[in-house]
Amino acid sequence: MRGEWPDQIIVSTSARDAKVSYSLNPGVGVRVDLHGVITRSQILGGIIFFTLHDATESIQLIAQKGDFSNDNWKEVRSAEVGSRLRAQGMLGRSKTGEISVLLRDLPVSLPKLPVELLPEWEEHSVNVGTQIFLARLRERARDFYVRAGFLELEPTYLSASWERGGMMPLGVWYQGLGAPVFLAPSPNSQLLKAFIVTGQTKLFSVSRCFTSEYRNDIQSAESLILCARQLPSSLENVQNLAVDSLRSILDDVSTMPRQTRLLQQEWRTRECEWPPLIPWPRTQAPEIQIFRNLIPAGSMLANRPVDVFRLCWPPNLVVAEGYSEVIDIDVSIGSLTLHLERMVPLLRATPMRRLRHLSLVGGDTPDTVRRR
Amino acid sequence: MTGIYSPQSPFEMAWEACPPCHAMIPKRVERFDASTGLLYTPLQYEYLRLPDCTDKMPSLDWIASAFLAFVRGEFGSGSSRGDCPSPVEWERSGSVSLQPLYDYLEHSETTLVFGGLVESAVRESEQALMSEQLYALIKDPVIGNRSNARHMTLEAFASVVNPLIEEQLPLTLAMPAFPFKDQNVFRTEAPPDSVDLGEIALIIRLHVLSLALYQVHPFTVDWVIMSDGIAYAPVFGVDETEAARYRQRLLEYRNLLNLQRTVSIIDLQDMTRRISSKAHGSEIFDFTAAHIRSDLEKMVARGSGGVFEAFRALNRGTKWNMNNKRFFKDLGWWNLWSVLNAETADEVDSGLQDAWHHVDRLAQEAAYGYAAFNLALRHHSVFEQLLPRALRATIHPKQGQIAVPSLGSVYPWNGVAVLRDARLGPNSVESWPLYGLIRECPRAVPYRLYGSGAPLYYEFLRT
Repeated sequence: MRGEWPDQIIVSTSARDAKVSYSLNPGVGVRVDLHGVITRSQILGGIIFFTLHDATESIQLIAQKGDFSNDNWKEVRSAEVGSRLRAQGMLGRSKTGEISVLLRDLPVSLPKLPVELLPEWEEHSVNVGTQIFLARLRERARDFYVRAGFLELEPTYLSASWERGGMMPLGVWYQGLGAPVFLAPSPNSQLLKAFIVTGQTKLFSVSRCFTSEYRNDIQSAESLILCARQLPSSLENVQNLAVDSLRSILDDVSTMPRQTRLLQQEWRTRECEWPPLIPWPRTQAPEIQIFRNLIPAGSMLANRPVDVFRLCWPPNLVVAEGYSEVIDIDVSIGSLTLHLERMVPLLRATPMRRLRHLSLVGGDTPDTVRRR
Repeated sequence: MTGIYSPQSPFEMAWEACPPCHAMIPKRVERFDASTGLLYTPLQYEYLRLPDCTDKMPSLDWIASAFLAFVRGEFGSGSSRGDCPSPVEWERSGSVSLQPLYDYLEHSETTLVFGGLVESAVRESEQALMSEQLYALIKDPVIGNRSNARHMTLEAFASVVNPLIEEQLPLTLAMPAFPFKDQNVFRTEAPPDSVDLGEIALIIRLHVLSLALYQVHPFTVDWVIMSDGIAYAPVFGVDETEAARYRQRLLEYRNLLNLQRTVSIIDLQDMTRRISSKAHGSEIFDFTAAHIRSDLEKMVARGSGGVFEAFRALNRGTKWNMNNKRFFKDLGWWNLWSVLNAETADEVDSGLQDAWHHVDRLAQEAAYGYAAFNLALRHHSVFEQLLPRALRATIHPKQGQIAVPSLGSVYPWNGVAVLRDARLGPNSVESWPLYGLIRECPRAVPYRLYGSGAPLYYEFLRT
């Protein structure tokens, strides 16, 4: 571990970037300047091993008694799990081969993390902010459907079978245990089964859509959705349900969309030709597009034509889609999917440091929020 | 039908179903899946009937100019390979499982895609335009190839990529490569159908570049390797069935590593049969190649300036690219080295002059065949016709094409895989000519898959 430092040195302020630089540049020194939290501490006589977590990942710090004065060594020993530190040093490998920071300078204790100095802070705040918004959207969506008299079902995600011909699900391989199982893209079929077993006429489920199929340029392989089915239901009923639930979900200061005037407008409905053009023409206001008599992919409806709608938010984001299928004379089931994940980009871009000022309780108006 | 287990990529399936004389055009379509109640937008391929190719043969001027550009792009000036190293009997050998392949794949993905390099490469782009971010990645020295900055401007790249982004289409990068294992005794000791860790590492790095580009480009990125082994096997004295087996082995390794969505492999020879003309039908390509070859031979025989010198350069290259294992038995190691490196017959001992002339004649045949095939591809714009929405990629960095990551001093099929770091990170595997390995490390250890067959790699660890 000891020895002369190389002539060429890279400086990094991120644990993750530093490890990658070290791996890819043998013979080049990597010096780090990290801010993070101690999550592990182990004292073995004259050597102390810490684990430091910064905003990117964790890294081992190694301090040896011989590199510090007596006073400084006491300070190093006093660092506890949970301490916030600034640690500087060169990267090397421990005896077990782990990439570690070799501490020669006394780590600086910090009362509070200086957030502006953390690398990729903006990216991480967007990720965490998205998770907070998603939780709020989920809560509000669920609240609407419970108040509307829908029974909630907790979905199952893993399935041993898959309906071929439609969307490709993600597969899960159990190592050494043969063919994969599948992650269900939607709880739609589980809700149908629940109709039969419970005799209920209104059911919903908040779930994750897992698929590698392309839908749009912001969709990931995993996204939060709410799926609702009701019986009996025409396509118009399902459309109205979509509009009412969306207005309810977004009509709140804590989840207010960036363009609030769109909530006050009438959302038009129009009949469209199937299949639609790609890329879709942009819209100026939310609209419901209806497609009649299309033959769905997959084998579930045995090639019976269905009527489908989608609710597009400007400029061209589909936030809800649904259909109605006739199952018997004068009996049809309506099915609706709300794409909660896709609603996050619509929301006001609130910086992380402001979130604690937003009220989640009714009574606040946009004006009182702005005055804070 | 595509299942979870599919030995073919979606591109390969569409290619197989494509009728002759049709271009393959990707298109996004909207579909509704009733079992999930969801709309989705998969990729579909349309087949567009191509007009008949021209029956008009290229002019002498065109052939001369195209030939000069071809040789400049494929071969540099002749450089000395130094003294012949002594042949080696490997002192030790080892046995290895498939685990190194999986480790290399995992470490490459983790380090190059999910380890922060993509974000830092893209962060340096001045604007947030997708084409700029993609350009930053393809010219990144670690993830892509730094020579792309020299050979393709941002403007040229954006002009090709922007229409694809607008239509939400994938970036498909197509390149001719992976013919068969070189049969030059000084470059490899494996048979033509052998695939080693060098080839597998390059396929993995193409996959990794796809993933990296995919972090920016949400409409997916994939590679199409136009394997040219069956086309070149007769030119370079290799058995066609072994070239076909080489391609099959590439596909098997590709599937083992679950890379069907990012790397497709099709046959270049098959592509040439998919164009047609009024007068010659699907034989038009072979007819054109024969015509070009005949004109080229006449120009070389006349000693016409630039063409003659370019042919000599090409001849030097093909002497090394063709199967010389067939001469090895008679000549032996040292004599074969002398014959291959001598520019003229005078440079070898009198006892080797007949052998030199024989090898030189075969090399000239190979050079004409190789050049004629490539010029015919250009004359009929085979790639552009059959895959009009694909971007042209290349293993030899050249103007206007996207170069792939470089893993060593030679292409993987022109050498042996050398393991430099047992941790199997993205820089751990290099491709070297065998003579280079012998020279640097005569005590390298060949490792064979489960102890048999040609070496999967030679271990020569960096200290």
